[in-house]
Amino acid sequence: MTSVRAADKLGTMNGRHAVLEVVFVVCAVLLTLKVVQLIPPALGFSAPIQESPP
Amino acid sequence: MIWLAVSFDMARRIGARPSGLGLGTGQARTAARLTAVVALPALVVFTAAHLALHGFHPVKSFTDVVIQVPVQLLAVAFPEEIFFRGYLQSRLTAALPSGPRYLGVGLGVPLVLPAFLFAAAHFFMDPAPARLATFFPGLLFGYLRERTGAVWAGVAVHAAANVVVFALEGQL
Repeated sequence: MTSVRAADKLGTMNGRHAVLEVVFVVCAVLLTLKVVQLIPPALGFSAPIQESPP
Repeated sequence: MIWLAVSFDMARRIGARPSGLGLGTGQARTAARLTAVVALPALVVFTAAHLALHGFHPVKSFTDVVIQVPVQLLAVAFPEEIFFRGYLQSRLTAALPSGPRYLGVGLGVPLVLPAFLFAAAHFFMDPAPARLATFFPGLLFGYLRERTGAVWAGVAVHAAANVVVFALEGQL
């Protein structure tokens, strides 16, 4: 019984750890991308002006 | 490129081989069959619905459409699929129960969470409510990855869907 409980707990821990890991990685990547996205405007570079159709 | 870099770095950390990221050959016949029978009809239905709701915008430049195909394949679909389906989905599939099976795949957290994070990522980078709808193609790409054992079918359908959406929205 002990080994089954230990295995269950390990499985639960692994699953929870995996979910936390992927959520953490996604947040880290998105924050990095957002910072990269915000750097040009912060430095005074603006997006090219779209030409309006005639 | 950050999607690719993070995916390969995480794979190295957890000791996964490239095939663990869905970069193997997988089941090529299943991939071709599902792309033809499931994904392309889904794209046709989406196109019809988009045209009915938003009207028709003629394509301005077919050259731009042709250029967008390799751009979407290599610079958008491939990195995103490697990250969301190759790394995230594989990691969750290995660690969590796959859930109730339907149409040959488990409909549990390993399929749904990457699709949710895929939609959340699109919404975070471009906060328009319509971006949350990427949850549904995310489910389709996850289904293709799970059924075929590789990300290639998802990459192809993802790129095709992006080009179609840009064309439908009059951006090309």
